[in-house]
Amino acid sequence: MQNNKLTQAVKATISSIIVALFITGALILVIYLFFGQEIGEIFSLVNKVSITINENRAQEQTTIGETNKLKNYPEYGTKYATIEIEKINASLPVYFGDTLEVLKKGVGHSSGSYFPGEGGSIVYMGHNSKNTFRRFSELQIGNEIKVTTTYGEYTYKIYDMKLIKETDLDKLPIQDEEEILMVYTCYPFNNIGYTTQRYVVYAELEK
Amino acid sequence: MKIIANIARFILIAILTICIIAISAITIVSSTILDKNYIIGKLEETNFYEEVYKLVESNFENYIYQSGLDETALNNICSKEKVEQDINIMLSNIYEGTNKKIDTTPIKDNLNKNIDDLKVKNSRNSEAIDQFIKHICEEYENTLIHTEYENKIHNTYNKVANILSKVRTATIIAICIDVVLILITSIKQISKVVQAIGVSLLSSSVFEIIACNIITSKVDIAGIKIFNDAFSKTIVTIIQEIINKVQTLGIITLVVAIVLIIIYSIITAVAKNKKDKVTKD
Repeated sequence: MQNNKLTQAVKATISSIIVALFITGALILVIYLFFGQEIGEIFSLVNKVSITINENRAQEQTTIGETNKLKNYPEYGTKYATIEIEKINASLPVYFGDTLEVLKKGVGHSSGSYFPGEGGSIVYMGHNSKNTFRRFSELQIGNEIKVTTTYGEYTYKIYDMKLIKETDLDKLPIQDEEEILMVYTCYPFNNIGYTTQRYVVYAELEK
Repeated sequence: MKIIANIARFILIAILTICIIAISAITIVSSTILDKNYIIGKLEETNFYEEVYKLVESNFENYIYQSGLDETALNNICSKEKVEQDINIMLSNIYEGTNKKIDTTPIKDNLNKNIDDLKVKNSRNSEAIDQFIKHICEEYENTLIHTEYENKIHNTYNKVANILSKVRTATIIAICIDVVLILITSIKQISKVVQAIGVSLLSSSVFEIIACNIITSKVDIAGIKIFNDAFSKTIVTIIQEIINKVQTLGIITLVVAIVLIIIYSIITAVAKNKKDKVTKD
């Protein structure tokens, strides 16, 4: 008798749950059929403004291969070197990238240029502020610029200095035949406000 | 006749399910993103004012490096209280349609005073300095995400709030009518009303739980980046809290639904056994 009651109760419960799940399934199906595309677009839009956070991922060590090409380039926005210019008593961190955020922290490396050791044009830039390149005017031909990266040390010798317009991109040529370091800052060095001129220092690889 | 009654009951249960989902969604939306006090609470909880203040200072520094001015020019030109006050003005514009503007005059005055103290202003650079001050004031408004569209957002907010209020009333009426109709179709076995409500609650709870799981698996909510870090952090917190609320509501509804279904099943089993006993006797 008790077993019969229990069987009846279980049957009624299961049938109710089946009906409920059927309604849910039908509802999901209807939504998918009528609004599936719109919902997909919303998800894709949200994912476009979403960046994957993977804090556990370790940056692999940057090394230089036999063909002078870097293995595992530094991540954009990270520090990968230090630039030392003894003549003006400057020792500054170099970051891969040229955003305002990067330039606030130190010297930026133009993402379109080569890295030290790769045998091409390297373009560095920094503000003309007191802490960065305000003393650039004191540099002379023959002065040394030392760049210490996470994969090696490179010394360059200044062979030219030029005053260019901010739009004169041809004065900062990107080539891969000779390793040239080009470092520039805003000119005039003591100017207040936005400047349209850039002071570029050209240096060739010494060792 | 019994088949027609069963189909009618099924349709009524499905409608009740949709109404329960709709009322849950409207209640959650109204008590979260459409509620100014909730938003203020979340801004405080996520340290939004503090974060925006830090951002304002950091963005000012970007300009000072480019300007060539000494960093002391930025000393005390803006305060955390000013940032908080201005953000609340924007919230009032959006939620209450107050149409107030952010006043950057104190920042301009403080900056002018600091630059005067540096004694660097002359006829050659005064235009550049004025331009710099203008940029700083614009940067302040941009960092706060202060736009001319706040009043347009308020109009949309009003429309949405009105529509939701009407939909809520309509849904409540629909639920009442639906329950009465279920009652009529179950007049011979009143316990079926309990089953209908239980099934509707179970369907809606399963739907809510599945919807939350689909959203969290398809969208990287924690990585959402809009405007700046402070704003993104608040948005992420609000979205995650809404999803948690829906999930919690789904679980509570699930428990209530299962209890109702079990009660119905027990009543049915007892009634059927009594009926069988009477037939045997």
